[in-house]
Parts: sequence; structure tokens; C-alpha cells
Amino acid sequence: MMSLSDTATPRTATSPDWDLFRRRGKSILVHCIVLGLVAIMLLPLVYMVMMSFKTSTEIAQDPLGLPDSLYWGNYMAALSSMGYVRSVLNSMGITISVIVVVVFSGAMAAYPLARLQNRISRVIVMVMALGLATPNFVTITPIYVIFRDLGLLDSYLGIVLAFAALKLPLAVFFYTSFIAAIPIELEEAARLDNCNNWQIFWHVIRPLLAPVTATLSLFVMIMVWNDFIYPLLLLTDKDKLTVMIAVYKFVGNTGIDPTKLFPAAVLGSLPLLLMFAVFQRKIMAGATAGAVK
Amino acid sequence: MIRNLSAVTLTAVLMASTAGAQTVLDVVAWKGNEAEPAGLPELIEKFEAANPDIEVDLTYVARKDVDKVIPPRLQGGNPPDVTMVDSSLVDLWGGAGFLNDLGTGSAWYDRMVPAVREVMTTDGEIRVFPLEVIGMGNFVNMDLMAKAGIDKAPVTLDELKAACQALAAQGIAPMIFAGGFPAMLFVGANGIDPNGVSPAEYGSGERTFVEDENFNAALDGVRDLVAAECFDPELQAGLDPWATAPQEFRSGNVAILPQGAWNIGNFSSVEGLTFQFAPMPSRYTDKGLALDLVGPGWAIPRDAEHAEAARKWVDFFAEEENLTVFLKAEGAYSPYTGGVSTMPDLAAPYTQARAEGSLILWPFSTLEFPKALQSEWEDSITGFLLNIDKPNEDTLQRWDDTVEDSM
Repeated sequence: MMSLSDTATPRTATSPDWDLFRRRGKSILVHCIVLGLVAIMLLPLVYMVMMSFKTSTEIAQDPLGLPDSLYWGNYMAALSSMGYVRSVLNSMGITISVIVVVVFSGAMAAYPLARLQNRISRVIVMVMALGLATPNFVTITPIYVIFRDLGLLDSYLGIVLAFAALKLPLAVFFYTSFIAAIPIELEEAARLDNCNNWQIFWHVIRPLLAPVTATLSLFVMIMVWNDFIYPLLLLTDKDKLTVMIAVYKFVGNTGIDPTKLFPAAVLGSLPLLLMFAVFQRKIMAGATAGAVK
Repeated sequence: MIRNLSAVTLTAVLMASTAGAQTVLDVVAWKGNEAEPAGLPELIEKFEAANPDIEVDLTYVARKDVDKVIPPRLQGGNPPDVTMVDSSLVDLWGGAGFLNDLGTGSAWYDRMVPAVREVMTTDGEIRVFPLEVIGMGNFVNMDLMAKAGIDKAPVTLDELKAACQALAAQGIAPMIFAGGFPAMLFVGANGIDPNGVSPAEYGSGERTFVEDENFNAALDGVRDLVAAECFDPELQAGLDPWATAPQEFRSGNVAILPQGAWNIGNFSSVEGLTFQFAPMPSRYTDKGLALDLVGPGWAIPRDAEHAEAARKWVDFFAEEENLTVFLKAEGAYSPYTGGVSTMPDLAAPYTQARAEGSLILWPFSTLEFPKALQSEWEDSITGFLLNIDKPNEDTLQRWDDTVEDSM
């Protein structure tokens, strides 16, 4: 028989209701913090988009306020002097080409470097690490002079090769450490099945590189898309210039005109954002593949 | 029939070869883009009309990127035909033999203002065609001043302090004194005596900043402005001098902004903004001190492919009517004597101080101060604003150390 005191047991801090309440409270708090951080990170982007729709007078009178209406005139003016479609296509072509070259050559270079445990491979990896640490301004003149001698100035091939050479150390570094962590037994099994080195690389190692390739591609894409110094140096034909050069025209030496710069900056980063939006699922899937076994 | 066809073909080939002979003049400049057109689109059109066999291909490279983009081309023997340079680039590239001598026999050379000629001539050679001398001083919002009962831009320290107090009493932010460029202008105007010690003495290490009465007084002058409620030093230390500060002035949120005259066009485009450009209040003069910056010019690199066309470009700018277009767009003074003044009326206070001889050439643009000292000034004055009660020695010693390192 149950006593009265049994039924009237007060809820303790460890009762299921309390636990649920605590868990929900914690979850709401975490969500609030995360949303707050996201809002802080998005603030410059929102500000840029907001400013791009304001007239010069609105910006002067109330720089932080919302636009009275969406003024598209700034975009029309920016588009008319950017050569937008052409420059975006140039940027996309160059960026994708660089990613392809860097991913393939980087992975192929990294495979033997990760597997051969001798002094030469260690030295090569160290040289690659040095390549990562070398500032751009040190390599810019040699690259220019070599490309001039090879007749690669003002060509798509030249700019792709230049970027590929600059980003290759990063790729080799990424892939070397990743491949080194792949169990050697997988390769031994393939070898028992009469696979040669190339077949092992292509059919065993390469598929396992998906996560690191996704991360690397992301890094390379952002770096190449945003770089304007090398295109400015190596490309002179106006039809070959990248979208960031088109945006660069709106940056002043002693100040900025928000009505011109902000719409140009939005237009310049829009294709990159769209690419992220389209490929986000694949990139995230690649980046997290293998993270949990 | 065959003869006619041959004649047509020959004509077409000749026309094609003539069109192919068009010279493309490769010009690199940090002006002429959307943000700072400087009248160049108009001038290029005029130049091409006057020289139908030359097509100008202008590439914009911001000043901060010129040091990265142009040296590889100079060293690779494939430079632009004409490049914009300032005194430090003339010194660096000219000294390395990358720039052509434009000839001291040029007509424009004789017309150059003596002080500019002295700065730009090296070893009897002139490697640049100077385009402008541009003023630096205070932009003053006259509507806000009127609200505080003041009808004149302040040109003395006492006037400036009185204006600050009157503005602050009305709840108006008196002055922007951002740690980098704006603060430097005040410190420079109050440290460099136009009739006293030559800036070159500091720049060469002959005289130290730390023991110098003038520069100690200049830093004390900043404290006086703080005491007069001109600004909050810690707040100003975090203000961006190139983006936020001009935007604040454009928005009418602040009454006084130390900046360069290159902003005149930018501020003039704001509807309802009534302002003047005035000389910097200085302890050495009651007229205000005009701070003239020797601006950029054109240079022809040694290996320029189209040197002859490049020379035509320079000669085109040497014609007063063409240079005037550039100067008007820039809000600048001509570096040549006898030129027509293109400055607007709102810059009358600055122009007057200049005319009365109350001016100095900004020592960073004349290379009297080493280039490295400029960034040190920006950094250390920002540090000074954050710790305004610390001894002057902490700031001034850093300048002396930088000068010593540069020697």
C-alpha cells in the first residue's frame, strides 16, 4: 500500500520533467548564442547589401539606417562599367581550372611523398612547406620573368599555371598528411590483387581523398577568386580580366564611394555565394565524410 | 575584273595594316578609375582625338599595390609606357635606373615651382612630370559652426579651441582626430616651424624629435585640444581615417575634419553640405598653416615600348588647358608658375594662407622624412591618443629610432 507521502513526493532536481526543462533551456541558450554569433558575422554582409541599395544622399544623411526603397540605379551604374558577365566567366574558368590542376597534381605528388620514408621525400615536403610560408611579393618577380620568357603573359594558361604553382604547396601539404593516415593494409590488399602503383592511387587512394579535396577546393576557390594582384600583373587584355579586377576599379586611394563600391562588391561576391549555395551539400558531405566511423 | 579585285584586296590589306599600326599606349595610374577619375577619361578622349594613331590603354593600380605590380614589369624589361609615380617611387625606381630622364631642357621644367623642382630633380635629371601640388588642412562644416555662433573657419589654435567648446556646448561633435592621417596633420603643422628648423634635419638624424621643443609642444597641443573638448582621444584612436572619418563628415555628424583637398569633389557632391577648406591651425602663425603635398606625376620607364607616344602623353599634360582639367577634378594647385587657379571658392581660406606664404611642403612628400617614418607616425600617434597622459618621450623616441633605422 502506498503511503500519502509516496504520492506527494516533491519534484527533485533530477526528475524527468526537470531534466527535460533543463535540456530545453540549454538548447535554447545555445541556439541564441549561435544565432547571435551568426548575426555578428553576417552584419558586414548585410551592411554591404543595405548600402548598395541606398542613394548617395540617404547614405550621407543616415549611414546606418535602412534604405527608404531599393534603389537599383547603383547596380545599373556598376554593371555598365564592370563588364560583368565576361569578367565572371573569366573568374569561374580560371578558378575551376586552377582547382582541377591543383587537386590532381597535388594528390599525385603527395602520394609518393607520404609513402616513401626517405630523406629526399622529407626534404621535398619541407621545401613545399617553405613554399607555403613564402610571401607573394617574393615570388611575383620570378614568376613574371619566367612567364615572359615562356610567352605566357596575358594568357589564360599563364594565369592558371601561376595560381596552380602558388597553391600547389598547400595541396601537397594537405594531401601528404591525409594520405599518411590511410592504413597501408588497404594498399597491400590491392597489391595482392595485382594492382600497380597507378591503379592503387586511382582506385584505392583517390576515392578516400574526397573529404580533404572538398576542403582544399574551398580554400583554393576563395583564394583564387579574391586575388587581384596576379591577374593585374599577368593579364593586360581587358577581355581576360577577372571579376575582382572589375570590383577593384571602384576602390579609391583615399576613400570610397559607397554607392559605387558596395554594389560592385555584392556583384563580385555573388557568383561565389551562389556556387556555395548550389554545392553546399556536396562540400559539407565531402568535408565531413569519414569524420565518424 | 581581276584587276579590280586585286585593287580592292590591296586596299583592304593596306587598311588592315594601317589599323594594325595603331600604337596602344600602356598607361598605369592610381587615378582615373571610378572612385577617382581625376578628369582622365575626358583627357584620354581628347588625347586620342589629337593623336589618332595612338590608343590609350589605362590600367588602374591603387597606390598601395603599385609597389607589387610595377617592379616585376620594370625588372622584366616589359614596363608600361607611362606610369604614375610619386617622389618616393621616383627616388626608388629612378635611382635604380628604371626611369628615363625627361630632360631639364623641357619648357615645363623652367616653369616648375622652384621648391617642387628642387625636390624632383636628382643628379641634374628630371624623371617625372609633376602633375599637382595638393593641400591638406581642415574641412569645416559651416552650418554646424553657425549653430555654435561661429561664422569663420578656425585658423589659429585659440580659435580652434574656442570653436570646440562652443560646438560641444551645443551637443555637436567638434572634431575628428583619427589616429592615423588626420592627427598627423595637426602634429606636423605644430611641430614643423615654417621659418625654423628644416624638416631635413629631423629626417637625417641631425636633430632628434625627443629633445626637440617644437614636437614636444605639438604633442602638448593635442592634449590642449582634448582639454578643450575637441574630441575623445581613445575614441579617435579606433576611428578609420579613410572610410569612417570622411563618411562622418559627409553625414554632417562632425564639424571639423583634418584631411586632404582631394576630398573636395567627394564632399561637394553631398546635397546641403556647406563647408570650407581651411589651413591647419598652428602655433607658428595666426593665418593657419597650409600643408602642401607634392603629388604624383608621369614617368616614362627606361624600357618603354612606345617611348615616343609616351612623350606625346607627357607633353599633352604640359599644356595648361589639359593640366587644368586634371587639377580641377583633383582640387589641386598647379606645380607650375603662372597657372590658372582651379580651386573653388570654398577653399579660399587655404588658398589665402598659401598666398601669404604661410605654408610648408609636407616632408613625407619631399622625402625630407624617411618613408618608414610615416607609418611610425600613424602608429605611434594612435598609441599616444590611447595613452595621452604618458610622457611625450615614449612617442618621440620611436620616431628617432625609426629615423636611425632608415639611415
